[in-house]
Amino acid sequence: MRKILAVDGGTYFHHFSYADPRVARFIDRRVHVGDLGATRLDDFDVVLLPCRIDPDSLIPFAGALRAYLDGGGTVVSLNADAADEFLPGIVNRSTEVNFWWWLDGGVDPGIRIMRPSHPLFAHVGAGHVIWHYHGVLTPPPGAISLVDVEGEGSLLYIDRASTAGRLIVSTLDPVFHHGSNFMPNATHLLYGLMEWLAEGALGDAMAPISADHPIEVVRAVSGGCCA
Amino acid sequence: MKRCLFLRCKRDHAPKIFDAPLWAGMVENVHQSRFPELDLSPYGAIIMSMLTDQASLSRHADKLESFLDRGGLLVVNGHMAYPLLADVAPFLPQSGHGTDALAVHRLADHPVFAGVAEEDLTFRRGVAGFYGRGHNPPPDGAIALNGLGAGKVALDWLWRRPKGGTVFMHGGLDLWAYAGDPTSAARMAPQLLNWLKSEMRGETCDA
Repeated sequence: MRKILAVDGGTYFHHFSYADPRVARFIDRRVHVGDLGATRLDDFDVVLLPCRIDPDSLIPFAGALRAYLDGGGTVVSLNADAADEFLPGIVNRSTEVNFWWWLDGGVDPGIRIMRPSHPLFAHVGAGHVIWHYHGVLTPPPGAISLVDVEGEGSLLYIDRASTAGRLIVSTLDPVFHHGSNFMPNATHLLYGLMEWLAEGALGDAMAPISADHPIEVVRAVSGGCCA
Repeated sequence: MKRCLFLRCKRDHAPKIFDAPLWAGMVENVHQSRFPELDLSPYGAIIMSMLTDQASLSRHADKLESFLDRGGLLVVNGHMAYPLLADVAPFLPQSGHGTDALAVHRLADHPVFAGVAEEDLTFRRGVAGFYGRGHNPPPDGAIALNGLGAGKVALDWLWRRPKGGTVFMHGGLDLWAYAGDPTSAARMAPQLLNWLKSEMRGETCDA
């Protein structure tokens, strides 16, 4: 099992998500961001940065994160807000949040699984990446988008091109929603993501660019969004 | 008049309404990381967001307690995960599912909720659960303002502490997140600021 370092912003939702036994069992160590400077990133296979962490608390660690990535490490940032200030290659555009699209069964939110064959989806159901989103990403050249909003940008990508390591970025916020006891899809995504990071194949054999892979059009899982 | 301290959790975090002309100069935004060295004497009230780094702040719980002991007012949003306040128990997630478990019930009148319809807290565009998903159990002597679910557990409560000071608890989404709603829920943010203003002037109006 890979060793995962879970960075903690000290919020209630970071705590309740990380303390959930189904998440905690995959976490090797949990460290408050204020103590990150005293932590050797190289001791871990994966460094997880949660959603809705104060980005200014991570800026002092931009150099350490870059060195860790350059050394082949894996960083997962579920926070894209100002992440360009401490991680390479990130272009994030905030979008208007539509909490309501799923109320109309006829509306297609435009969310597409770009690489259904990616091993992530052996752990995460295609429908579990669907709720509202707060922004879209423009993946850097060579990165693989796994989930797109059609015509808008990426919701989740893996970048093995910008550094020697893996940088996985998403604008979805499963730690916030799961830790707030709010949104079954977020819970499914968080559980699946942790299992994949700890035990799954990371999909390194996939070519960064492939013109002929199938794109899967996904619909919301019924009842998966809200109460 | 004393000012109100908003413990900002990231840049550009303070809601626009805090700077509206009606309350100009009343709310001061300070990043919460500065709390340990901050002189609290100019402040009559502190507002905490659901995004608060409770782990760090809880290391200074004694400073919060003495602020309250001196008569301060503390507004808390979110779920209690760390021991920020003595006598306030950790968050309990709501049991049960569906709209009944997430319905908001008015239990006592309070200026912050004046004219705010229960259904505008229970539902946003017909969807339940934004306002609260559980509760922070109140201490003895607190007044439950809004209750959640069939058991009407105290989601929002007001506690006039025997040792002095006041805690206004909302155990869910930041109250000001509703400021732009096209419903009566939008009344909460301005009414919170008005209530803080009158409290800091010593005009108690919830009794």
